[in-house]
Amino acid sequence: MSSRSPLLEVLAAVAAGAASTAEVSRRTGLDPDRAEAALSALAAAGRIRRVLVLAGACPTQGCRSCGQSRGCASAGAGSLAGSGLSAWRVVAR
Amino acid sequence: MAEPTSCHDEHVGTVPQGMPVVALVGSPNSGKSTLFNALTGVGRAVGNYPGTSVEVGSGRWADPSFGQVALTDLPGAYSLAPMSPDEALTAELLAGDGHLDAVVIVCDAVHLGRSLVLAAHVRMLAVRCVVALTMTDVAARRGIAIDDQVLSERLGAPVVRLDPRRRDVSGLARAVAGALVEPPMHPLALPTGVPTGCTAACPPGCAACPPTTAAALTASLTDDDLAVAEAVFAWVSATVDAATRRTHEARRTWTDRVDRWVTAPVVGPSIFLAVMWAVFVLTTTVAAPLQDGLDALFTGPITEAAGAILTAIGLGDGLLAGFVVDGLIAGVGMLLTFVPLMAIMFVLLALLEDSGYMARAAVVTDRLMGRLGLPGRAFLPLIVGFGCNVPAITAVRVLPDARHRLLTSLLVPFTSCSARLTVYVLVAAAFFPESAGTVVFALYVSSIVLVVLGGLLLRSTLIRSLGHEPLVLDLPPYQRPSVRLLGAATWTRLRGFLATASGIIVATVAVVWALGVIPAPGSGAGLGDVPAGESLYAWLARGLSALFIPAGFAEWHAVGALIVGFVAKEAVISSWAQTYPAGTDLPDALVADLGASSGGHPQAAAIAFLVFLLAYTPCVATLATQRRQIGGRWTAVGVAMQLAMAWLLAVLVFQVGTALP
Repeated sequence: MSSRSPLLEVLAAVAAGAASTAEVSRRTGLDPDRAEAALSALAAAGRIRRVLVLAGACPTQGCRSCGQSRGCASAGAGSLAGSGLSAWRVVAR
Repeated sequence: MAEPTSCHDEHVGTVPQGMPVVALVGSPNSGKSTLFNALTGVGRAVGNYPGTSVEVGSGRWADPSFGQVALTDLPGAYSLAPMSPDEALTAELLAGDGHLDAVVIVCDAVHLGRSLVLAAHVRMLAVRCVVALTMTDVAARRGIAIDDQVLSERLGAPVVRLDPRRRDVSGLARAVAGALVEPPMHPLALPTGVPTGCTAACPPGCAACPPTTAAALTASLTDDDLAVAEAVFAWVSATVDAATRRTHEARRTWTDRVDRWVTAPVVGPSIFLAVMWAVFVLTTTVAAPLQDGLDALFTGPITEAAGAILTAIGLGDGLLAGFVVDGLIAGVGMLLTFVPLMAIMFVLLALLEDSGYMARAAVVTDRLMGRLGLPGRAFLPLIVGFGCNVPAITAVRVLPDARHRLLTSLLVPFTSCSARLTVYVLVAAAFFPESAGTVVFALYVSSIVLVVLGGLLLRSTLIRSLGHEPLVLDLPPYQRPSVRLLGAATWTRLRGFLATASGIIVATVAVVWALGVIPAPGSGAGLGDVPAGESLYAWLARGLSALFIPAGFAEWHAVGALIVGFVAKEAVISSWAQTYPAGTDLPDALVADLGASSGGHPQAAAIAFLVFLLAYTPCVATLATQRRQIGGRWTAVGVAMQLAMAWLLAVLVFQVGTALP
């Protein structure tokens, strides 16, 4: 790992195309949890963007038109709704 | 606190005067919503927060230590920087605008560093905090020991470790009760880069404190030179170092070892297919005797009792008796015989979801779609479509690219929702009694193929340019499913099925019954005294039957069922139960009728019928949602595409099926 700060290292790894937290971890030498923390800190600073693919699937309108859609409100039971698949993008500055 | 209003549930109400308001905040997958359910029971109310499109959960938490508090489940957030409407609302409420009395920060012990970024942001505000440490059992198995005392000192807030999946929440209640009687906490002073100056003598909200409003917090977090981000990360890193230690060398976890196979390029899809095949075979096999029992109940004692009651009150021979016995009991009753089947399938799917497997299945299929040049991220909304197309289309709003949203909205109707399952099972059991489960499984695989084909077709014609965006995998560890959560998830979905059966299906049954008692033009029969084959319903269905001659099912019962199936797929079953004479063995009648319409190839005609049912428009609720999402013109394009693909595939299947020896 170079003398750059950990966050700059992570930023460089994402910009270079690291496609997973594990890959960011490998490229920067940070453990996976700390790599995640670094990504979150960078996202909070507005330097990268974390886009949740699916943070919840419950419709905001017209929910009574389909009884089955009520199932989407079962948060906690369906881990899929928060499975956390996400994309990191470097924000143009 | 201003209360959420709900389009979903009337339980979201105003908070009584004087009742404390406590919010749960945490990152996705931290166990926050599971904790919320454990604290409030399964009676979760969900609604949009006023003035926003952000959904929050709401409920009451009762405990002897504080009586009762209003509990708000804020949207999952990784930080308080408002990078999304969800995070903006969370920041706004926590920063004091929402009049929260206390905040429970849910931290995942396995991903403590990630959780502490959010915790640090919350602690930069002058609010009462309690930290709930979840997943400690998983962390222990991974050799991560957390010193609660050190963590509490670093955070300046009480830390309670709990396992909400086992309802162990008494310690949290005591900690919250203690926090509620204390003044708001002084904000956390980070080492560098953040405005500091707070001392123990400093009153809450003083000018020298770190930001106490959402705007001030946002301004301080979004810095160009990364000073605050570096300070937060340094604090997180130091806190993890101080509060955790390794009890044994991190070795490959069970999750890692399993993931090596279930997400592998070739083995992964094979395992996914095998799992889904097992689900459908198990579902159909176990449910069959239960369905038979319910069928006997509805066609026997219940029908007889209803007839006897109507006769006793002098309505035994009128139109009302026909509506009740031949309409409601036959139609809705037939649909209700599928309740055991749906329950078994919902249990199995909840098992796969709660164990963590379904997220892996999404990854596996995402990879396939990516290779085909389709937007991989679209697959998660598509997976939701296998439950119900309506929330799946709503879910596409999270896709950042408008073309991805359009493409995915048009593909969702090809995912086979659970309502279609009832028809698959009935037809498969009638025509392929020895391999019904395999036929159903094949239809679900066909559904995935249809999504891919539809995607390729749209990409090569109407939606040519699509950007590519890589995925970052952040999969939760596998876990032992909780019986209570399985029960809650199954019941929620089953309740949805029953709600459909008692709502739109009753209305459809009434319409089909009305069309069934009106004589067709020129039949000469009287109102209410017309054979089903000479009714207006049969006449209308025959009008469209010619279209399906090349598909082998140009038969009025089948075509009529497809017409009412446009309203909702559950209506297919009820229409058959209504239009065949009472006492008819439905499977035998279907085999006989399709045998006649197909020239002696009933199985080929049945498969063609099922393929058409799979591919054509799911229901009017889906269309309404689609219209809101992508507009009327694209919805019409979608309907045209669905009908064209359904017809072409049905014809292809039947023609190939009849050509085979």
